[in-house]
Amino acid sequence: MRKAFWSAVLAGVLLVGCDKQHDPDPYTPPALPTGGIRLKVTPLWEGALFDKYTTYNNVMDYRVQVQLIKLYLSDLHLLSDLGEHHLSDAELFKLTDGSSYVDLPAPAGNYTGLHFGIGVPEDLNHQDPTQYDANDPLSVSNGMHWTWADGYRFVVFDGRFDTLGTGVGPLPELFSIHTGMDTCYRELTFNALPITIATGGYTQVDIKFDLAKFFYSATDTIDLEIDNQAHGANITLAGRLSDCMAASVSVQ
Amino acid sequence: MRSIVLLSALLLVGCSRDENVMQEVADRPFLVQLPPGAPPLPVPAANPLTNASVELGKKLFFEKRLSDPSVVSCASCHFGNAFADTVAFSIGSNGSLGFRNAPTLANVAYQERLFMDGGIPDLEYQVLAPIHDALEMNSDINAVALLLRDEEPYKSLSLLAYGRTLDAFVITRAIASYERTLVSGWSRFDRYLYANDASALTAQELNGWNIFSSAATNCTGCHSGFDFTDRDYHNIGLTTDHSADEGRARITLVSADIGKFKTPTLRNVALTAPYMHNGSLATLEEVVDHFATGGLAQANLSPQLQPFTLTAQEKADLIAFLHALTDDRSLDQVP
Repeated sequence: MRKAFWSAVLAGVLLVGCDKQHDPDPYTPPALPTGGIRLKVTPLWEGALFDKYTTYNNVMDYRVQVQLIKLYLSDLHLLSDLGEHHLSDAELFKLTDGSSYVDLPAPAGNYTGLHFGIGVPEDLNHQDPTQYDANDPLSVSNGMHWTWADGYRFVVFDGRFDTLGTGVGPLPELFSIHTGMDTCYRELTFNALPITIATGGYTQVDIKFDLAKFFYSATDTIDLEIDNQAHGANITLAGRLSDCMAASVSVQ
Repeated sequence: MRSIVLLSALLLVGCSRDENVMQEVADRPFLVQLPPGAPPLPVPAANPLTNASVELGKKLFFEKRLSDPSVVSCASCHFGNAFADTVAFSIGSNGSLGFRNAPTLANVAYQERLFMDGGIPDLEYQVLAPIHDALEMNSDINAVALLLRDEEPYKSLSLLAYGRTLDAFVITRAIASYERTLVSGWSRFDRYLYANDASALTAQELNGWNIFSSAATNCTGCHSGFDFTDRDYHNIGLTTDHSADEGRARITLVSADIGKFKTPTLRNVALTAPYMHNGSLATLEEVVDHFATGGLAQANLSPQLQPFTLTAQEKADLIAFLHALTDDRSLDQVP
């Protein structure tokens, strides 16, 4: 009986001690009004929406059909005069069927730009991939991990082509250019890009990749007849594709 | 975190004495019997060898449902007492041929980096590669975990070994633990060298050892130490066309590494034919003949290679010595 009494007293003290109403915090900072950003990634072909069923003529006047395009964008940051806001470590976008987007929380406010990398940055690229569950962008279940190379494929870009630009019918040749390895990581910063994040919704920012420009840039042209395969072994071609891709991006 | 999960599990099932004893046994370190002369076994602190982890690893090693379709296990390409294959390229679950010759797993615990190009930093990580390789198991480790996690003994062993449900983390750790126990060093050569058994080697094998160690053949220039490997990468002039497989350069992206492959162990080498990264040499006789040529001339050819001449008897003696590196007992210590 005596034991029960003291137990009741102790319980009462604990209950009183846990009641925050009697011990108010002297200062509670106001919570930041939060909003969100929708990063929508869209594949284009020479400025128009890309269609995987369409056969295009590329810069070399080869007939080209893109059949698979997947890529990582990572180290995503909103930029502002006051500093940066980290949005996400890495996101995987599957663009074969058209646009893909991700919604990310972001504090409401005015921002001046966007920063991201194409690929997976070195500090993430070599981490233990078993730490990510199957739904994580960096999960091995996404089929983007190159275990043999201790890292991820950054971009998978596959399709068919025909060097005869006026040809008809099925495209006889295959191209499959996969980038990876730290040397293929490309960082992009888009300044002077006013982005206003409002509360209660997602502000859409469009990131566009022009697939036609994957085959050329101001300083390079990829001739598929010569360079059509890169799976780690042809890192030179993977690097050239990385440069062309980086030059193909626009953000609105 | 692990102790919290285990505690919760025990509370849920009732904290009986039997279950405590079971956990205690499961947590006991698995003591790998090391042969005389073997260096201490490197075991990462983050994945200690326990009774439960190696038992789970062994079961997973022989589990064909790691592959899609469920027709090959790790043991399908790593079998026999050398834990190697007998064909140049192993056949994967969908009938594809592998990229390289399946290496022996003997003494894999001592390897500093995995794969013949050294692309993989540790054994746990390596487990992922064959499971996801379309040419090998053609599978998805997360899907495999979902398939097996509620099935015994995987369910219980996973909790006992790692305090968590079977997942990619557990599968990679457990198989790596089992593979770490495959220690080779029980050959007649070891008895001669480390156990002072002068009768363990024949006169022919001893002569073969002398040839192996001679400056003329310079085998020990690369095949040295307890595991007969310098753990370095060399271009041995097997071919001048490396377009199919650039070797170490595939990882380093340095042209000076084109055609270089990691020096393999020679333990149980008589059981691991065919030889070389591409299985292009069928017998030990062909291997000796290749090295006797000094290799095909090329920019990255290892300076360790030099042409040499052996009589037929010397060649036979050298090969007899290599046969003396075969273990007399099973590498598998896990009951």
